[in-house]
Amino acid sequence: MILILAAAGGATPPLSAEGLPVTYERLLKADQEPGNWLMYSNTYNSWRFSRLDQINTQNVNRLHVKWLFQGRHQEKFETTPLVVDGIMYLTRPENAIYALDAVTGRVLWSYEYRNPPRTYNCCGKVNRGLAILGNRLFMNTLDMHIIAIDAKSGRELWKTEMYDYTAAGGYAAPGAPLALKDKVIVGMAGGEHGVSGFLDAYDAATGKRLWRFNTIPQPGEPNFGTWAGDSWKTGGASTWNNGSYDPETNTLYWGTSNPWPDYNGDFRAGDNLYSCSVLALDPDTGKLKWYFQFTPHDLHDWDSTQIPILLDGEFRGQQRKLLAWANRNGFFYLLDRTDGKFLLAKNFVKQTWAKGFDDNGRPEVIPGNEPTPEGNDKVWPGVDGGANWMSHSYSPLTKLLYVFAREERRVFTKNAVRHPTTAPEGGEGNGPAMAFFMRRPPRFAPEESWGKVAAIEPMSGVIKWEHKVVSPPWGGVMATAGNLVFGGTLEGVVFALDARTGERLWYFSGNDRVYASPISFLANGKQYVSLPVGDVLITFGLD
Amino acid sequence: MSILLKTSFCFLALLAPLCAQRQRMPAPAEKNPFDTPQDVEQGAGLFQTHCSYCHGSHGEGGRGADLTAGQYRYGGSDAELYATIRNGIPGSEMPPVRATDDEIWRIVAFVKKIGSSGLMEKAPGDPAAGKLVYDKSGCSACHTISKQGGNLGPDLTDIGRRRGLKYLEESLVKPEADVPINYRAIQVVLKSGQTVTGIRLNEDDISIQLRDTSDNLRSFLKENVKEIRHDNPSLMPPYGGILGKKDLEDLVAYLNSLRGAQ
Amino acid sequence: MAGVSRAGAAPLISSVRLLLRGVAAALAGVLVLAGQSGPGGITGDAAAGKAIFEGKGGCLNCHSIENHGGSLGPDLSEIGIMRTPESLRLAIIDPDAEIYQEYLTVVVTTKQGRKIEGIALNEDDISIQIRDTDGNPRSFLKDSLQEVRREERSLMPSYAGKLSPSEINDLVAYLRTLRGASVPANAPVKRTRQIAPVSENIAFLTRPERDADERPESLLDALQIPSGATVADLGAGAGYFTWRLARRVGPSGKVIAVDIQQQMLDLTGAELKKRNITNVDLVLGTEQDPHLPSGALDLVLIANAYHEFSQPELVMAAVRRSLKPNGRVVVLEYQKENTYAPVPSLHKMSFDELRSEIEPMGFQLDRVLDFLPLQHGLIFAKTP
Repeated sequence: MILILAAAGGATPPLSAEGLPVTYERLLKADQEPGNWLMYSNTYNSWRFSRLDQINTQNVNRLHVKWLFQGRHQEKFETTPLVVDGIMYLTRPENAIYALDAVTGRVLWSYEYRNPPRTYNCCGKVNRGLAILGNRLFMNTLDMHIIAIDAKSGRELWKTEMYDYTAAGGYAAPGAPLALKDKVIVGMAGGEHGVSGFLDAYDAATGKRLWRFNTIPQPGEPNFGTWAGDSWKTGGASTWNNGSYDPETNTLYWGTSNPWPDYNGDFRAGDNLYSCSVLALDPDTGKLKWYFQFTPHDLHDWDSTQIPILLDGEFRGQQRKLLAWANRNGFFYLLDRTDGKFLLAKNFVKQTWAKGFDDNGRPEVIPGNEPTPEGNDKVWPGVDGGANWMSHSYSPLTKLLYVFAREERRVFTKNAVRHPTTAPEGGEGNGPAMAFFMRRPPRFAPEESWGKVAAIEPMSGVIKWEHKVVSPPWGGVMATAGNLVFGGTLEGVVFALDARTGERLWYFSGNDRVYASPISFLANGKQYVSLPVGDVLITFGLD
Repeated sequence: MSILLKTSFCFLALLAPLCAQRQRMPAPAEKNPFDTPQDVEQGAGLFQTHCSYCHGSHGEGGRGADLTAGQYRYGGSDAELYATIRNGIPGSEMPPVRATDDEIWRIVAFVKKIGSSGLMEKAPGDPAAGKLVYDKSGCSACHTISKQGGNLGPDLTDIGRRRGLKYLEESLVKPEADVPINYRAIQVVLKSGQTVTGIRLNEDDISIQLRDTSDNLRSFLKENVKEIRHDNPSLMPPYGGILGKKDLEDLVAYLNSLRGAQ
Repeated sequence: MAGVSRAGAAPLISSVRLLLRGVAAALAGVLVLAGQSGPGGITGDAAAGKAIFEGKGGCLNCHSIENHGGSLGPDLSEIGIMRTPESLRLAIIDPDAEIYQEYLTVVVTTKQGRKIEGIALNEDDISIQIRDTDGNPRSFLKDSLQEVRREERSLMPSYAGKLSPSEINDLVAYLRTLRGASVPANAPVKRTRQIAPVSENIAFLTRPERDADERPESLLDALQIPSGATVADLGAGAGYFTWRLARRVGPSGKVIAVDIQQQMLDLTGAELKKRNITNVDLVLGTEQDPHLPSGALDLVLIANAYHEFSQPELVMAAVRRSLKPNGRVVVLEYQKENTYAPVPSLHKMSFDELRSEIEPMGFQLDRVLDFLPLQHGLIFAKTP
């Protein structure tokens, strides 16, 4: 149900009068509430597509800043806000939640969760966002709790410990949860530390855990035995990003991370299931329906924690339910999402490691691409992959999948259990892109790395256009019904491209790193676009 | 040709996470280094200057919490008290205290002293009867105890250890005498003629946000507002005229018994 | 609007190799031990070199020393310990051979066809900022440019034609004196660090990641140890460097492996036996005396051990006695300044600590190995 709000001058109804509760029925039909953003990827199929078209190719050049939310933190700002009838709910590092008036950005209430001083995060004390169901907001924390907050008052309702965050190499939960039916699905991180991965479901009303799926089969479970010796106990395969849901087939789709230890497979011979895979689970029971492994026995830290894109279409003359996936390993995949059948794979960035795939989608690995003790500098893509956790976006108007991709070559060093191959991120916002300090082995010069927004035709894997940018990105993209693709670069350039041609129609110089993906919503009947840039969330609009 | 990658001689640990979202200063030490009797005496003077306005001359409470009970919501260790006084309590009326580090420690010493003398007053009324009064008077429409209740008045879950009897009684009898800043009631009169009453959440020159009496979050651009009235700062009715003397006494006893999770 | 292209850079490891091969090629026929850089190795006159540097060379137009000078080229305050004499010579006669990435030449061409040359300061998809050849910062919107091109050349001209060979020698000699603040000989040693207890952590010494952390082969390449040399591995531990040194010096050379723990020497011995290495002597030293032969060593390697010397003055005096006149001592320590160094703080040292402790003991910091990911690698020569 869309709330048509009167223009300025009339009485404005309460911000949350019809906003709450956000029922499961509303979540199922989230695309019919284009003025709201009700879940991380906007809709369960994870298209991250906005049906709003007030802002379009004709007027986007007039887009300007309407308001800011100043985060005042030093961490990467990776959040995706939710917007429900005029109230924006967002998380800010480490685990604070703010409810803002979406017209002005003014704070209505705030909540802060205090983590212990020492938590275990490979990649920053970050949080990627909330889920909402009923009157409850859900956030998972760096110290492995899932928390429910009352959306009206900001008060904590319940809190459940997912796992001992100090166990093994250390666990954390930085991703955004997914709410469906009467439950919240929550993933975890720690694949760089030797943990044992899982995906959980919690009762939204009480916080009780309903099921746990182990992403590494335990003894007795199907597919146990693809890890040599005891290496399965600390195999990683974490679930640190968001997932997707198909209500028609009642299937939950979620990606898994790398096997541990990264870069050195000597002690974990075998395919290492279910690392670097997509899992199709029954959301009611947590049972596995099928899996597909993108990178068997991964040695390059190529987590398959991208968000699954669900779409239906005609593939080779046959109408099918499909799953489109631009994977970190540099290949775009098309799978049948009812049974995981491999349909096609095509590289969307430069890659040197696979010469093809067999009929089941197993890559034929080219020798010479493994990490070596002194460092193998010949491999494309680099450790951060052709794609990473940032959101991709599918437009049903252009029928293109937009991927903000990374093209780069980096050093892969074997036995590097910590991340020596992860060089300092170049171009940290406003800093000079070229100068950096040698704290760790170097990354390559700019000629050997760049970024691009690639528009991929999912049924063929063919790239229809590319918009090249200076640095490999850490932000995602959002396509809109105004035929625009929004995103932000590492240097902080926020852009809008023509979704049909890739031409840049508008930009804003934000001058600090973008580590998140845009959203769009209506406030007071006007379309806004919001994106975190640096530690500030910027909201843009027309007049 | 080869391209050199420069090393900086000054190896800055630039990736060491720069912690702390705000500049919240922790205590410089775990234990109070200023805890001699002379320090306590100096602390008493500083307390009068900085703290007594809200916390009472003897720390008995008022607008601010009762500090004589020895129970502290934000921690009673030396370092925690230091941090609370130094930084204030965000989201409440307790401001950061502008004083030198040494002075703050001396205030801590004094607070510890009066806290240890914690006389817990015995309320004359009957808490069980008071609970019935609470329930029948509709208090939970606005107040919350242990996550149950409304959002228009302060949370009462541990009010018994934060406010003394006198203050509790006054709050019931004459609530408008001292309304916490986060719960000040306003009336927003719109240009359209509509009036919205609620507690003010936030305000700047462009807009104002409130929680209205139906517990809805509202936001108005000031260009649509005719006037904002502050004549009735408290939404809470004065219960002195509504409840009898015994009921009031019992209610105070009930509130006094609310100590939160120990 | 033309696409942006940025020049490539080889990875640092292979660039060092390239550097050294280039050096060897450029100075064909000259047998120079890299780093053998004590005053005896340089033939020029530093005072004359200084006059050239400040005078007809015009170097301060682009370079700076102690924050005086230009900003189109690297600051040279410590260049004497950062680069070998061969590298310095190469930079003067063929500046395009090795360029710091941020000093690559950038040429922007405006829509009107005007070309502006300089070094890049900053860049994003919308604009580029450069410092032009007059030293002025400039900013250009890419929409107003026809082209942005990075060229694999330096703004620095070659001095091969401008200065005579002896003038170039003088200039190199002068540059070699630019070493930052060195500590005078016999200055009192101010040790503020705590001396670490001797480590018995064999698992750490033999951990699989050590190759990646320490890059031993690249390190030894950079030291250019000739075959036939006599070297010592002082604090040999489990033999990690010992067998590598043995290979470098070859059958006509010799390695003396010293440790104060017999069990370490046993491990080293086993490592050598495994590799059929026979040109190593195992010596059990004490905390006061490493039992090194007098005046016999070309090189002493102290890898991650100096911080554990309980009597560093005594041991370093012994090291000094053991070195030939042009001998060098190479000290490796995990960087205290680096939070990623995988050892506790007590087992790390800062650059200042190393220099201020060791130089007063009769040494002069000759070169810094700047390609090690987590360690300081300092090469000292004996002061005469």
